[in-house]
Amino acid sequence: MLSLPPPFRRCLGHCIVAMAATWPWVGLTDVATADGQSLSDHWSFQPVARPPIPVVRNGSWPLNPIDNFVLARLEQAGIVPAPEADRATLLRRVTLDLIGVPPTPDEVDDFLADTAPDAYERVVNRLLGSPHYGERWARHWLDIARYADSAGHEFDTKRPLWRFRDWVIQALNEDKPYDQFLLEQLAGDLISPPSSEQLIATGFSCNALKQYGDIEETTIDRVNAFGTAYLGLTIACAQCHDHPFDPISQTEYYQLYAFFNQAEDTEYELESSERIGERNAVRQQVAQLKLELATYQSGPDSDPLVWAARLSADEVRSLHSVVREAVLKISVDRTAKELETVRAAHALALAQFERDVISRFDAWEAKLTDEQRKSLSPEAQAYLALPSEQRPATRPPAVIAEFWKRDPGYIKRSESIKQLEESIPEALTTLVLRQRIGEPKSHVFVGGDPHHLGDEVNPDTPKVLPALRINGPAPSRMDLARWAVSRDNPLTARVAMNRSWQVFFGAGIVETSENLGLRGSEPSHAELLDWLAAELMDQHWSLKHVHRLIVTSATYRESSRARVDLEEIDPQNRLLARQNRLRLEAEIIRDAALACSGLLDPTIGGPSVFPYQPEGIMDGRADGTKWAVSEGPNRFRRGLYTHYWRLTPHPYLRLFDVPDASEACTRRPRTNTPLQALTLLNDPWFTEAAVALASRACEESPANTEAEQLDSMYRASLARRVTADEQRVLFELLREQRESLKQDPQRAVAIVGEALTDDEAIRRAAWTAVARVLLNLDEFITRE
Amino acid sequence: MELTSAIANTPHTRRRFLDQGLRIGAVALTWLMNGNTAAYGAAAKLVNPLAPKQPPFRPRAKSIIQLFMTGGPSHLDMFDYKPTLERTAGQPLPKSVLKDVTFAQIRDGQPLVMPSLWGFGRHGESGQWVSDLLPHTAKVVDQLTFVRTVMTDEKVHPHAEFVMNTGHRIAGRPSLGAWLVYGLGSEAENLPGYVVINSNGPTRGKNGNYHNGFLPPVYQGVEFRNRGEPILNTLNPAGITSGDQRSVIDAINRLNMMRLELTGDSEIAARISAYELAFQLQSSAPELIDLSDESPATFQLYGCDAQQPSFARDCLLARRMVERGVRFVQVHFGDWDHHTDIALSHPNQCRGIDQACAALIQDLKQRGLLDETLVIWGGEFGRTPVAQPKKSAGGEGRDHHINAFTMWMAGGGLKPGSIGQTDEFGFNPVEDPISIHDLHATILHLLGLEHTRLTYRYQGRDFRLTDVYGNVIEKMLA
Repeated sequence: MLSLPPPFRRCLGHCIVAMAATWPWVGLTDVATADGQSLSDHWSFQPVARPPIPVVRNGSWPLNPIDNFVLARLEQAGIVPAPEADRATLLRRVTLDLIGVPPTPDEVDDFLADTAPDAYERVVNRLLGSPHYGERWARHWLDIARYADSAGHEFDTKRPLWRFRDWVIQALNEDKPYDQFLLEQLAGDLISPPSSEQLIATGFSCNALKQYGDIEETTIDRVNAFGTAYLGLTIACAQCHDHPFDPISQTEYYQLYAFFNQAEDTEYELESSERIGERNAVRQQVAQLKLELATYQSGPDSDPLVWAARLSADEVRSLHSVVREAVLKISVDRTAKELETVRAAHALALAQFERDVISRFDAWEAKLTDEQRKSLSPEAQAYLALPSEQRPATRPPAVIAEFWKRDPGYIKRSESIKQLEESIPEALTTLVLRQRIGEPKSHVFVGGDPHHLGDEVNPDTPKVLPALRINGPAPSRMDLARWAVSRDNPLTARVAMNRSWQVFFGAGIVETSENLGLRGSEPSHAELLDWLAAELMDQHWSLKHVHRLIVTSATYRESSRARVDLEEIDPQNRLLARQNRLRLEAEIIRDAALACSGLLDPTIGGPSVFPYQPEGIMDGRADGTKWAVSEGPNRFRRGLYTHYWRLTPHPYLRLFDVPDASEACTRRPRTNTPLQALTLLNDPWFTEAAVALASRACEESPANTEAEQLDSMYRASLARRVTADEQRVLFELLREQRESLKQDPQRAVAIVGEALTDDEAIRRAAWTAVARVLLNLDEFITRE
Repeated sequence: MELTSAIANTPHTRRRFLDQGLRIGAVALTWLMNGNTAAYGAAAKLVNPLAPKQPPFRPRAKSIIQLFMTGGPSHLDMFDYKPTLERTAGQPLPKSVLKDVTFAQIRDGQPLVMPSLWGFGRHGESGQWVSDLLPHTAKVVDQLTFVRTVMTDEKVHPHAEFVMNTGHRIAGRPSLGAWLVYGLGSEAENLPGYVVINSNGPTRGKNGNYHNGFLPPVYQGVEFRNRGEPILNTLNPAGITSGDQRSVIDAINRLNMMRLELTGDSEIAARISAYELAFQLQSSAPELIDLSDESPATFQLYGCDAQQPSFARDCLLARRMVERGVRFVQVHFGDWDHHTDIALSHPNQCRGIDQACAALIQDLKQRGLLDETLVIWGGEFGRTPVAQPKKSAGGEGRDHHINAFTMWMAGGGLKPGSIGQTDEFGFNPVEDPISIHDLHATILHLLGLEHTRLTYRYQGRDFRLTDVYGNVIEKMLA
């Protein structure tokens, strides 16, 4: 058995196993790889230089320089690019990619009728200007930011961070320069003076999982998220030892750690100080009442000193003078004698309390009617049925609970607490980053163990990357942010462009978009990536500019049909001789169903919402929180607004591969499972949308023929016309359903869930079957 | 391409499409006929990830039922008999035993020894000690292999749960069940390969305990609810009959088939198959929980009835699942966390599981399934031999104990008996300390897998369940 060398045995992180063969690890940064290169020669660590645009033989194909890079590779391999996708497919593709909902039937009709040469470019401009562009692209960034609405771990407390989510949407809609976008998230609090918005941006670092105020674990999470999101490196490996593959030493890891170790998160109040004061006063009152209730139930605290300290002024006054003096004195100056007095008085108080409770309990029991006894829990009944000599010495908690439930003093106290608690308005706060007080020192954690401190380290950046420039007396997080987005940083722009590319083509130019380091996959078009990175930086870090370039390229517009001629030469379609068919993301599948059925509420931003979810998902949470379904249009908001409890996420989201928000996620898997099929077939989310889609088509124009009606449903859901073969299959279903429903019109009413005439109910229910088919088609949940 | 000749060999369930009078491309046919064949020539990596795989070594067991007892059952009150606790009751634990251990909750410097409140007896031919709390389990001790010296690193519930299930203290790593289904696939045709049932509420760590981690999501445990619908959305929407559903799925598949022909995308073939399994699940999942074909003797053995949700009923469901080829079933029964009032709460808990555990062993044995099923019983840690001082309401209890605690296993490939010994206080192992990694290595071994070779490449590295640790516990093997 192989085993790690001793200092690495506590390896928390990501390393391990088959790399055993490479132990002991490379000493540090400058060891040669097998082919004799230095590790720091790795392509992604080299400065970004704009490569020349390749010359291609088929000069008429490229629409912009992107295509020259793609075509040059294809020509090298002797492959001809696919023809352009048909216009309807193209419109649905670009609409889903840019704003995350399918085009409306009108948009389809307009585009198909628009024969001007720049029709497509005008569509792209419209979509880039849509406020829904920010929503669609925010979700991708929120995956990377491991955004969630709760803190995770055992208690999974609710977390006020949706303003950060809205900030991301807004920033993307405004096309905030990407360097500024990154800088504000990392160090917005260090801009002097920061605006509210800039503070809110630092919510990025506040998305860490958090438990028991474990600052080290939280800070490590921040470092790792920074590594993945900004640098595209899985630096977490260097937590416990020098990075086994990338030239990052353990010391360098903790130098990065030192930047974040100076920060902590805090709730930033977004309202007036009076309001804050009022709320805090009520909260204090609640805390006091809770303490009193606890004392009422369990009697004096078991610690005499705590008991003494908690006595109210009235209680102190009622004490015997000797005891009173001792109690008063003991809080300032303690002598053995006073302690003894307090202890004796405390014992007396305890005994008195117990006597009191026992007599009240006995009185309660004596007064119980048979009726009342029967309403008790079985355990309590069993206990009370025993003759007193057979009862256990201590009363079972179940019995005690029954007693308290009916105790007037308890009821009165707990009700006033409940009322007060309910009167506290939810605070308008968001989590932001701030500097910690003092200058916390940072050390290497030997073997990744926060309790085993190694050498002290100062904030600095890894040596394999350009040197940090310091603008103050000591390196700050702002320096780190400036360093990350400086033109010299070889990673940031490449990483960003690779991830954008991934959204538009299904895979990045570097497939491992989380890792552009030595263990990342080889870039398929290294020069194209560099060209895009240079273009991003030269065009003032405008994401919209690059997105426009990509979606107007000939490469993006290619048909996604499989090609038999590529099966052997390029089975993964890395050379992009065609587009890829991509299953839509979880949120977008539902958004599309809601949009095409007319249910979608397009409101942007605001607190997260609670659309329907099945019973039982929240059972057993330590905090007892329930899922109270939102009312009205909030049930039909876009998927990215669904409240995300880290511990008990909405089952639909997880089923369709939404990440668990435990760490930065740069790419989601695209699974294809029977449980997904069950969801789309039977979940109320989708059946409701199917009914709405059918009803809409039925109501739209009663004079429509069935063929027109089906065509309108096709245009709404699939953004294209129905074919004759498809029509045949669906009319067959429609007829069959109508016949079967005629036998039992009540079923039709149950399906449409609305009181209608039998005929109308049957008509809509039969069309609902058709709508269910459409919303379940592979084509519907895929962007082609 | 015409298909007539091929149809003859097509399994019934996949046959339906082929009877639709559609011309189906060769692509789809290959896939539909053979769930684990690549579809679109070399272009597709479409292999059914759940197809049964032959393990590299001879498996001693095919399936696992894990009875996961979270909260921390007290080994000292159930299996690890320590007369010394009686002799030293009320005294501080010797410094030599206590060393510098810090407890999860006890803060007093000198916690006092608390003897078991229940009598112990020797049972079976093997003469294993079992306390009076578990009269039924006592009857099957000769089938069990006790591990008395399990150690864990974590004394907080969710972290310790994660260690037990994933080998790692933080949520997000693949769980044992996920690794097994990844390594072995599933023999269940109409059910998921990895099922989790929460008998009395979920674990503290929730889905972190049955996560696929970095393994493909298809290996994630599927949570079966122990009441109502066993999996979500198996019921047709209101007003929809099974016939309607079939018609709708047929139409979906026919249109998907057209799309498959047009686009050549093998994902569509997988989707067609997913809709077929979905339809089957709508009947197989209810069939699974429909216990009307079980005999009265079986209900009597388990002490449950067909309707009322209970741990016993969940154990019976687990048996039905392994009969149907499910690879890994975790039945979770929590609430063992008795810091106070252990005198009342532990007997209650034990009553909740005792008869069912014994019944499961007997039932599996009667049906000849015990040889190919591995049953694992245990919590995420044990409880301290010292008392946790009582609060003003309620009696004393025990705190979390991580240095040594008892688990038992039974079935395929194990040698009944016991392994490991704790000191006279049941505090530390004195013989054969067993880590969770060792347990995992042994479990994989029994299923025919080698824990150092069952790896998955993620972010450029090969990961495994046992990290860099773990040794197969040879002494446990038959």
